[in-house]
Amino acid sequence: MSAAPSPALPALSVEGLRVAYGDVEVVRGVDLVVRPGEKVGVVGESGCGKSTVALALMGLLAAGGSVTGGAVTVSGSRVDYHDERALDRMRGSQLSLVFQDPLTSLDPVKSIGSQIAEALRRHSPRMSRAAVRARCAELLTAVGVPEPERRLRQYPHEFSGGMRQRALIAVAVANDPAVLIADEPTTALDVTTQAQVVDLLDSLVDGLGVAVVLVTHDIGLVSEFCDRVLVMYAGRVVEEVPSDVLFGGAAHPYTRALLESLPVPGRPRGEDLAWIPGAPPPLSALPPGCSFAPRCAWAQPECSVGTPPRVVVSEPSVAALGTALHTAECRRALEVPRG
Amino acid sequence: MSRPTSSTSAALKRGAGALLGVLATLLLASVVSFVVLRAVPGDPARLIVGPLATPDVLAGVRTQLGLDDPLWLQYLHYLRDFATLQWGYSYSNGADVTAVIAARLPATLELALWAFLFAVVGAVVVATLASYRGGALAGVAKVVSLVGLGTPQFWVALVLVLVLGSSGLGVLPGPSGRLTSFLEPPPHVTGLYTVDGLLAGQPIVFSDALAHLALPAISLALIPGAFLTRLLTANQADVARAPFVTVVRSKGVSRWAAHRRHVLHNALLPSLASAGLVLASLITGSVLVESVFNWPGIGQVLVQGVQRQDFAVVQAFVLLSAVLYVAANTAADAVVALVDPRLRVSTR
Ligand SMILES: Nc1ncnc2c1ncn2[C@@H]1O[C@H](COP(=O)(O)OP(=O)(O)O)[C@@H](O)[C@H]1O
Ligand SMILES: [Mg+2]
Repeated sequence: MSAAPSPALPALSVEGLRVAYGDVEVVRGVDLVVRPGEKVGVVGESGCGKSTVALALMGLLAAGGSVTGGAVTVSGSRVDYHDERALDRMRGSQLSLVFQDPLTSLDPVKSIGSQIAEALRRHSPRMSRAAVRARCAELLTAVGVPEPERRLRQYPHEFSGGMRQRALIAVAVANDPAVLIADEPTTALDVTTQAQVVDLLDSLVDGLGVAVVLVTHDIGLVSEFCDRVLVMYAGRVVEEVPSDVLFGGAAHPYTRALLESLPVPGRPRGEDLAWIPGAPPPLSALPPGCSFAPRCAWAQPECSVGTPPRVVVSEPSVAALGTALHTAECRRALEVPRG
Repeated sequence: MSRPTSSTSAALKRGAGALLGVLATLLLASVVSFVVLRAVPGDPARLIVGPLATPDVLAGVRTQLGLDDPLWLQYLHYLRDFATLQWGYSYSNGADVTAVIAARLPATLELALWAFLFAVVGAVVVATLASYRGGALAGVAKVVSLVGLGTPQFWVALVLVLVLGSSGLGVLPGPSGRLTSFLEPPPHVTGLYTVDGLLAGQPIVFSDALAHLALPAISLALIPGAFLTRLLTANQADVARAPFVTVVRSKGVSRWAAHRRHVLHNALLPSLASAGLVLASLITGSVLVESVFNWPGIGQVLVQGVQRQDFAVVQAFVLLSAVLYVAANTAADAVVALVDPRLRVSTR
């Protein structure tokens, strides 16, 4: 087990991450800092590169994908994405991953117990059989699966979707990682189960001190769950904003459009729902300048020229130094009325 | 959640369905073999008594064979005789068909089992390496398995004999039966010389029997081996794309361990059913290879039986093959049901 990182050290720090599939760059310079025990959200429309960021951080990009730039530091040490053995040691013990679809995330022909035990044995090979079994039961209890002894012997098809996602979270936290990356962990679940899984993640942050990066297209979910939200558009983080100022304080026109597309309680669904005109540009043929400009209600001719500047919307107070910086990558961030 | 009662009754239903299927298949096979035998020109009684026998003798044999009974009764007798192992008299061998087959079955079985072993082990190794390493290796494996599927068996057998056999490089015995002539067959336990040789503690017999087996077994294994390679490669490619493999990797498990433990395991399960059929086809399909290698198995008797219109032999072989296919299929299904947790009866 690695020593607990000092509080000053970020659990995860990503600088200028770039990822390409073949010739097409789909992640174009993403910065992300996650402190121990912090809950950070990454939101954006489907296809903006969220999952690619998650997989790139794990070093598990699909064939054809490669990291073309940037530096990643986990608990103070730089990750070398060419050293497979070092990556294997890091995966699961320092960074771990929970996927969107619990139905396809478990091996259908291995028992739940053996799939949790696999994570434990990988990083603690000298653990006795009895100790592994006891720890597996403890983990299942911790993620809220009743009758763990019986459930460990069962197979994925005997688990409901919500229970599978709990088991997968147990796998992910088995080795006390510093950061848990959850890629759309609730998207495939029904509403009640979604809320339960979010509560579970919350309790794990409190109980284990694990930091969570919650990746989702649901800006409502991140605003409830996270301390800080990163909004992605076409492979870049266009706004980084503390959750408590998200509603009413968002500065980037894209973030505002996302917020406006949320159903408002009381207003019937599907009616009156604002949505963003047009579609995200293909990543292989991005427009010049700001990639959101063609869909932006506030765009001016100069938006289509040159990279938009990163504008500091509000400085953090001295007490919360470094935790609540609010920035937006928009030329007009300070002129657009906050929404 | 699977309640024990419902899953047990589901398993019973599945079992009953399988049994019905087996019975239907066997019935169909027996009808076909019965009808075909009656449809061929020529009088079985005449074949037995010969062209010079008097009509009285012929009529006597006809009555004795039950050929004057109504067809349905003949069919029932035929079924009874098959079930009680009375498969008739083979005049070309001068012995009961049962005795002829019993004497020759072990040689065919031994050849088929080794060929099966070669095919399965070869396919698992090649398919796993090809799908794990990918690239040029996968391309070579694909081409080789395609060629393997399209190559005539007897041609492979001849080439192997000519190149590796006693007349070529001489590394392996050519078409000279199951053992070198100066060796005594091992004491009979299973009838498989390799197994009996080991059981009797005679390593020389074992290795000599294996050397004699090698070329015919390889010739026989080539097509099913190529078939299984393609099946396993395709299955592994499918499984390797499944999200759970990424989840396994995210635990820190190396790519090779994840492939072996999860991808291969999941790819093997759907191939088990085909493996049963492959085994059955190896047992019944060794005729050509047996004649190239002068292998004293059932194949040669069958060829003889066809040539000399010794239909008792042919008929027994046809029905026996059907039984074998059905048995292999059922056994494979049972094995799949045992090892696949999704089909296993929950006892908890
Ligand atoms: N394996 C892949 N090969 C090629 N392109 C991919 C692959 N995975 C994702 N992409 C492309 O990368 C972009 C970002 O995808 P993704 O990271 O899955 O987005 P998100 O998770 O935000 O929906 C999309 O344009 C998608 O088509
Ligand atoms: Mg995604």
